[in-house]
Amino acid sequence: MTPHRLLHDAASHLPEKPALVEAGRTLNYRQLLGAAEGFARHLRQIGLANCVVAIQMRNCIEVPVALLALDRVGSTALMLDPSLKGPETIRYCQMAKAAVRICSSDSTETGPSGTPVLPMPPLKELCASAASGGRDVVAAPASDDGIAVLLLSSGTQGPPKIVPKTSSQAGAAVGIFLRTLPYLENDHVLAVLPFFHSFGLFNVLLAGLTAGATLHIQPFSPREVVALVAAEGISALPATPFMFRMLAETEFRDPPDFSSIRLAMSAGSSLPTTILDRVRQKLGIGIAQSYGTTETGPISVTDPRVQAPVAGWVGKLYASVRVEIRNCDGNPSGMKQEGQIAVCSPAGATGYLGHGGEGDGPFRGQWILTGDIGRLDETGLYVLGRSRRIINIAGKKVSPAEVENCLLSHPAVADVLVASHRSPEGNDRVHATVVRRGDVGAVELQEYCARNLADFKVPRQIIFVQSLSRGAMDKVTEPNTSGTKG
Amino acid sequence: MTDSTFDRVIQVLVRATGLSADVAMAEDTPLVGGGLALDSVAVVELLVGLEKEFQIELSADDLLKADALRSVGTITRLVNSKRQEKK
Repeated sequence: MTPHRLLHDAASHLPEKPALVEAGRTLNYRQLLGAAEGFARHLRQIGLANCVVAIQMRNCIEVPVALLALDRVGSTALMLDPSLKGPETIRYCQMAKAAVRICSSDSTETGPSGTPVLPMPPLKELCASAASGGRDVVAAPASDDGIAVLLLSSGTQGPPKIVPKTSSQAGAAVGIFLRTLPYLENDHVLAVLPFFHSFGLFNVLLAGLTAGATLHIQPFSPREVVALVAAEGISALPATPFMFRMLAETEFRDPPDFSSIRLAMSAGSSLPTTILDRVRQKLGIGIAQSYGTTETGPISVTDPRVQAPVAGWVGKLYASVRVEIRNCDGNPSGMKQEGQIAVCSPAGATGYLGHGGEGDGPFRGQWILTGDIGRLDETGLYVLGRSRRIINIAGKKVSPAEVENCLLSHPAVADVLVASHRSPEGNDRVHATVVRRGDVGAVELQEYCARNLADFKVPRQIIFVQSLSRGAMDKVTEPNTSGTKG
Repeated sequence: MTDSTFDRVIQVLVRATGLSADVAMAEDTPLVGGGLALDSVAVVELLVGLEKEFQIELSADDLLKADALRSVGTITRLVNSKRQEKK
């Protein structure tokens, strides 16, 4: 089901109900579809039907308007993180063959962008344009087999990939979620998770709008979130473990009133029980933990009323999702055996953009290998470890290979190993071990990375060593420890 | 700006963001963009860390008005003004 069709029911039944609220601006469901229709008309007029268009904006009302408009003209939305730097943006736009990029007017990108920027017309103009035109100006939306969105993923290995999701898979990602954790029409959903991330897109934005709820778009900061929960009666709070930790660590003059929250859920990375306990103690809410990947869509979710049996428990499978535990030969293991978690889901992608598809990377027919080691029994699914090299920065995934390639492109770097370093608070951070072949310090290398990579990928610590030991497969096994901090 | 506040801000920066303790930080070292290149996650961690360290409250509005994320010096000045308000 296309994103536009997903929303159509809510818009028909609740035309005057607020759909999106952001910094004093409100768009009801009728206005949202109207603005999307107006933008679709504009896209068609400038020849942007049936092509790929990047959306590179922080969370704002214009993101769903652009997304729905692209859907209406049969175009595919490439969802890009606005914090990506110029070289990264160019790479992804070239990979996806994006014709233009839709950016916020306050975008602070650095470096050349390559792909032309399409300014988003003011919402009032879009609504007026839709009201003045007939209903048949815009072409019929894409079919369920058409690619609706392209999402970035760190993948299970190597540099980041682009994951295509058809309209059918996007609809399934929304449907699977709503059948298990339904938003209600009278819900006020806090939208702090980024819309360019699969959970933020399918399970916050599109699921919330499909259910007819009101979404409150707000950049995350503990004090603003607490104020908004109290002022707007926020009832659904999807966030990352990092955000929940920050809420629990902030000292508030008056105890936060979270009594309106009926559904708090965590996604993006695993939720430590220490955070769960602190949030329960301080805010009086339980948190459902959702587990999934960009490639598979939602996989499982915990019931916040149930005490986790042991660490690593990620709950019961979402409706329509099947999981197998595979042994090292790729064959299914027995019940309660440990192995790699493989997922079959109607929301699952079938290959990476520009790659082979079948048998490519984690894709095995209808099944997708998650790169996580786990176990499945009658109590649910357990994630016991990762077989992939991925660094998780508060829900944002960093591919070590991408950071290594960036550092290796510096003329004074001979060899490098990028890995995760865990802080005492449990946060992953990017850590680089570098072999120099010229005169260069840590700050210079950090600045070099910051010019080429989004800030969350820049190594927080750089250690210099004389050599890195490499195994038979040319993989770094261990650094020579006679290193120095730069 | 008192030296002790500046030093304590640096300590919070190192602790909250995982930066190397021996990275040279001056008053004019930028926090975001170039310089320390703090991402949005690190900025939230820094603010919560500063609130705890100095027993103050920092809102998004405070940061915007004072252009406080421009450098180590500007965030230190905001911390000092918030501490003065409390007295």
